[in-house]
Amino acid sequence: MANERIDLPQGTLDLLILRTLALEPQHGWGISERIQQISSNVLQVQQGSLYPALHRLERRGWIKARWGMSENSRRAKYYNLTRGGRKQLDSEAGAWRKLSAAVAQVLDMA
Amino acid sequence: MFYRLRALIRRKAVEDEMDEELRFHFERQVEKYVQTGLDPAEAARRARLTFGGIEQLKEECRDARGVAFIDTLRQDLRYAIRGMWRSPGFTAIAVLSLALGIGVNTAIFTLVNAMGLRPLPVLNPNDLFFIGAESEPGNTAGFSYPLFKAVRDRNQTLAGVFVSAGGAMNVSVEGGAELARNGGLYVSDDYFSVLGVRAVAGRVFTSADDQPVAVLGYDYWERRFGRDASVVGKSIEINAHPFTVIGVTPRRFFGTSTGMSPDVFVPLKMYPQINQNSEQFNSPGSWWLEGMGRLRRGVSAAQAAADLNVVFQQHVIDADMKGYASWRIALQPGGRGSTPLSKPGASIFLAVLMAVVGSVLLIACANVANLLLARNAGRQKEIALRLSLGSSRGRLIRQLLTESLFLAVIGGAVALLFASWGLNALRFFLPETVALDLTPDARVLIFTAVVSLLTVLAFGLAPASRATHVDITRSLKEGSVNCAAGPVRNRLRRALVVSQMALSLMLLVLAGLFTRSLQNLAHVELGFRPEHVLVLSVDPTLIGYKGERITALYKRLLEQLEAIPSVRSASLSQTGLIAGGVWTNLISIPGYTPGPGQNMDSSFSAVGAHFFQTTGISILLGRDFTSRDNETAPKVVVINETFARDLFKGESPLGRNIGLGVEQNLGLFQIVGVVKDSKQRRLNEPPVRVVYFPFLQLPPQQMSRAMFEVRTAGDPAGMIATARRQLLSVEKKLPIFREQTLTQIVADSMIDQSIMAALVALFGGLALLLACVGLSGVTAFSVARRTGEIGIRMALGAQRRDVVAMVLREAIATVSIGAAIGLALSLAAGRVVSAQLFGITGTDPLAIGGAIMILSATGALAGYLPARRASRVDPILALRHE
Repeated sequence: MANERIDLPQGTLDLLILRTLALEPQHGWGISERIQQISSNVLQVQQGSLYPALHRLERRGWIKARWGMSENSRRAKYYNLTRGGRKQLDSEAGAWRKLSAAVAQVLDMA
Repeated sequence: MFYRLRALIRRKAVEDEMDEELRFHFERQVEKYVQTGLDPAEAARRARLTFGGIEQLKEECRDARGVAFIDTLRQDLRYAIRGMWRSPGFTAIAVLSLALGIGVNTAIFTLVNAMGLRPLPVLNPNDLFFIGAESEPGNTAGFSYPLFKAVRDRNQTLAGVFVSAGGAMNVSVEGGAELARNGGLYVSDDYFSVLGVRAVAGRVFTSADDQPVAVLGYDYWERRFGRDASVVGKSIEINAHPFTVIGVTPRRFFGTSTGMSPDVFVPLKMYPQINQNSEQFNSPGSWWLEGMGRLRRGVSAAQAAADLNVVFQQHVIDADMKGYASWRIALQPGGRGSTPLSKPGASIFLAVLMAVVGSVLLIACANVANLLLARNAGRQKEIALRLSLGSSRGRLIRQLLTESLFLAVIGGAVALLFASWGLNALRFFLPETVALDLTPDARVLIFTAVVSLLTVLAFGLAPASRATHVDITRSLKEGSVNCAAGPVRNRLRRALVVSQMALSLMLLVLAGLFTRSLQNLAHVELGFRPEHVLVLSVDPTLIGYKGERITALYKRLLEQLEAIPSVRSASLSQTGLIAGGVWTNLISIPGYTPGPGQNMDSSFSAVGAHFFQTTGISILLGRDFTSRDNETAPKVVVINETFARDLFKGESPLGRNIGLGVEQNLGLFQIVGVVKDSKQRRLNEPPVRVVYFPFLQLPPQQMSRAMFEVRTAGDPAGMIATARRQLLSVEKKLPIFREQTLTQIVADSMIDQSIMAALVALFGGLALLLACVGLSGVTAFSVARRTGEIGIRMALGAQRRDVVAMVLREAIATVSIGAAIGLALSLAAGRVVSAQLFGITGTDPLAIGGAIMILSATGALAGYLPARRASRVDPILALRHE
């Protein structure tokens, strides 16, 4: 099963984080777990890229952080999507779908 | 923006949050592994593995937040400060080297700036232009008063125009006599309004003032009146005429000629009333005024010149000055004032100084670069460790450069301090009458900052990039300094020292050349004996004396001086010895036909009785003047050797007649003596013809100021007060404006050469010192690297002597290569300055040989100290070390 994990293409991590946060506010660990779960363990997010990405998104104003209580009642930093983030998610998701459809079309020809 | 700010201001809090966030993640990961059945220790290990380098992760987060730049800078600075604090010796030498190197540059730049780069402290200086009539391009004559009036009234392009002329002014406050030391300036009514200069106390004059009023210069106000504002409204006498002081000009306003600082400003229209020879005032052919104008807005200099030339041509017709029809009016930018920098002598002087201090700075930079190389070599292990732990090379270079920058900033700050000390010391050497504003302005500060930053590139870049090229495994595996990346690095360090030696040699040669030139000047055959002679200069025409009254006054003054018990003899002359102008005129000898192209002119000197005895000029033939050579006696002259040799060719000139002046208009004189040649204007002038004639036989209208020479038994300086009292006992208001010993006058005439020699010698010494620190450091470093080798040699039987010789040989080789390159530089430099030298050429063997000897001796000493240390190596310790 481990062999099926693939590395994330450049730039898609931001999109996945935004998409995950569109469901509900989540902390860093939760985001990585959620992505792994939903992708059926295919996509695995490394901490080394996750946290810099979170800080970058926060700087751009697409997500906001606040401290909250986690499931096991510990202090954790929760991120939630801002309005700007939602707009960004919509446009990036659209672009991504178009791109992947086009790539699939090319690959499936003949 | 807010986010970044918060991140900056609350750095600590943000860091804590980041820690907590990551810790939370880590713990959740561990929990997850435990849940899958791992034991807690194994779970933690696995979690750590997936986490990777935590510090690196944090660093990337900081980068992502975008405050990394300032943050790292802060970190690097803190690291740099800590590092320097830990090695105070390194820091002190580096900062001191830089401060000296930058400091001398700042000082000399301040001088150049004050002498001609700085705009005049007036309103919109860029609109100001010097205006003057010129006979041919570049040969400016200036303004006559009638031309000024024509230009002022008829021009279409100037917002304003004024003229000025300097003049000796005898100022008398409350009856006492004194001379305004720096002279006065006659200025036309609009002078202050065109310049846009207002008074700091009282007011300035305008065309509305028709009473005799005067404005004081700030320096004079400070020097003479202690900045007492109540002087405004007081009456003073200028050349024995009452004037009312109405104001004081601002500090740092020195008029429009750099280096001059007029003591008193007087309306030009008062000129005829307080000067005896005022025929020039209204003469259209008398170009005694300097003009300046302010262009109207939107007018170009070319347009103004065209307009003014129309006015000029009309003026030539109106004033019936046919000879001037080919003259033109020209405009020169005047915003910086008339500067001595435009004189070729001054600009070469300053260019040589700039080159010299530039070389000192290069040597200082090489020193710091060398220190950094050595220091970085010592940090090899640390750097290798940091590289292996994931630091990027760029990041490390940045950190090393931050250290360099820090050094340069501190060096630059200390340099400003050094420069201001140096300039204070320099001001002490400059004549008091030279007014220069040497306070650092923005231009000086920017210069210093730029130079400091450039030094970072010069000394910091190479060591930093080199330090980060390390073979990590080798560095970590091997010992301390032994792995210092081999011969390449050492070659760089040696090259730096070689160039230091070369530049030092060049500066030492220059110092030698200027010193030898000064010595030649100081030992030049003067032709007179200046010891024990006091010189006092007086000008009774400023207080209204004329013609025969002057003659009578001078006789009484001489009697008073001779009455002083310690006075051996006293005499007077119209022009002085060395200082003062020379009067040159035509001569003719009855029965002598000049050869084709032969000059028939000579310096003229009107002197009193016993002049040759008083000044110590040897009489070769005939006699000295006596008091019997007066107005009624037969007209006689004494000529000098050169005169006799040129025009009498070995025949005895005694008893021969010569005619003085154009077509003998001064009369026919009989030669009664021949005296030795003596220097007239400068110490470095070639022998010139001189004809001396009795002061009393001057036509009365030629009588004017005079210098009294007094030969005393004791120290002439101690006699000044007595002599002055004696003179004033005859005429209470007599303007006396130079009371100096003749020795001092001779020394003052060498002031340029003295300052040059002193500065270049000082800078040469400084350069040598810095270079030797460099050589010593490199040798010590090389010794440290070869400790093992030296140990082996000694274990195999080498004597201490051999070790010293081995190390010294290397140092001497470095010095020799440097000296060889330096020799080539010196020959080139010597050619550049040869015109400034007296009595030697730019390739003077003594100066070059001396410089090589000094360099070799100090170089050997700088190499010997580390060599001796090397010879004390204990072979056993050294080998164990290996």
